[in-house]
Amino acid sequence: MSPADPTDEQLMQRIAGGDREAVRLLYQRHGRRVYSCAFQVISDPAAAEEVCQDVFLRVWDRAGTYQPDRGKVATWLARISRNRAIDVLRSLRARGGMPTTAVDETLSAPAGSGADPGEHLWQSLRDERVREAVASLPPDQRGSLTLAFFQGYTHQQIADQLGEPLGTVKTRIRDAMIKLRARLGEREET
Amino acid sequence: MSDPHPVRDLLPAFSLGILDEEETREVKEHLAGCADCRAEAASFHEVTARLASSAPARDLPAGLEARILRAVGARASADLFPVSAVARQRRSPWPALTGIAAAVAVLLGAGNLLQWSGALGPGARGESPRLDTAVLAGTAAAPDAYGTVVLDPRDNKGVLAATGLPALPRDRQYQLWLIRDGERRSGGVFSPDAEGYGSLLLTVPADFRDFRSFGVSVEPRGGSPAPSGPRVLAGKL
Repeated sequence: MSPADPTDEQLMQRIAGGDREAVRLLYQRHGRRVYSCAFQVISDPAAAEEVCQDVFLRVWDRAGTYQPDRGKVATWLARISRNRAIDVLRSLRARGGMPTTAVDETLSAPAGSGADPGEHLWQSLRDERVREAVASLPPDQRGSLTLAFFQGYTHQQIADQLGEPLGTVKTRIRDAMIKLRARLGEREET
Repeated sequence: MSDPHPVRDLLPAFSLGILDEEETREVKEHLAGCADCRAEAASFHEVTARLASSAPARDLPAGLEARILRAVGARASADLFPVSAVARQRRSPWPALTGIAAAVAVLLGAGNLLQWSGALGPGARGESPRLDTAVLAGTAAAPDAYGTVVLDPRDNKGVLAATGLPALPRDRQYQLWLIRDGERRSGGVFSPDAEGYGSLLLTVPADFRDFRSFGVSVEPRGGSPAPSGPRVLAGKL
């Protein structure tokens, strides 16, 4: 038994080799993040729990395909969790359901009213650098990003919600993400 | 002059998971063949993941850890080897089977189920299977692809099950090749479903034991006499 804690990458290798204890360790390390990430998209405990279980089963199945040079384990888990949660959200919507999301009470702000629908949602994020980066976005970029990030709406759905042209929405979201990428230090702004 | 990176502007939205089906397919197809755009996509994935990871922390539901470990345990003992999420087989009439067992059962039908479930029943990892199996890994053209070929020597039947397959244009299909000493014999064609899962029931030639290697490539719809398109999966017995 090694005295040092295994790295995430080492846990993934162990999981790929069939080590179930490594799954437990990974869950203890990242489970809350995965669950919270799913809950942020679909504010239903049962649905978020199912997404979380799905994510760790997927880790069990696909640990062998994880490549460290393509990104950190935590990033990989957050992506899978978010994408699965959006899939669940969309399929509930498609079935005519009204799934509970974090943004529900904020969408009634009419376009151009000056209200910032997502402000309190962004301010509730735990990472201060993220909060600052989002706060530095122009309001119209932030508004479109809010609907994309918290609701998983497509460009067209956002355009319909806001009463804005499709091209405008696409540009705003792209520009918002480029700015965030620069502010969060992932890359120099070009 | 056409744009070598036509999906570049879609990459931020792709990382947010908000593209529609058509756009997502376009992006994934392009990424399969473009390392520059893959790197660009990765940088936006980091941004989205950073936003997602900073979600307000929720308490984990009681018992979720145990449930997850039980589910992993069930999958570990039912499968002969780790496979990709081959079967969220919602339409499977045999929900107790998971992974490759369910895929095989669905394909072969009830008549063979006893024969197959006997061969694929729970057993300790490391027990020699009575079936020939080959694990196929994704190539650079399809890094997320993963496949399994299972062959029953008793009746020369087999099945290919694969996941993580990139979507294909309408005039293309995947084709399985049985390979030996430079000879490539077709095992059939198949199309991936919307979730990137594809499967194929094959009848192998009587001398299939000489074919130790397998490959899957992208070919014109209906197949080619010989491999002509990019290879997405490769592996051997």
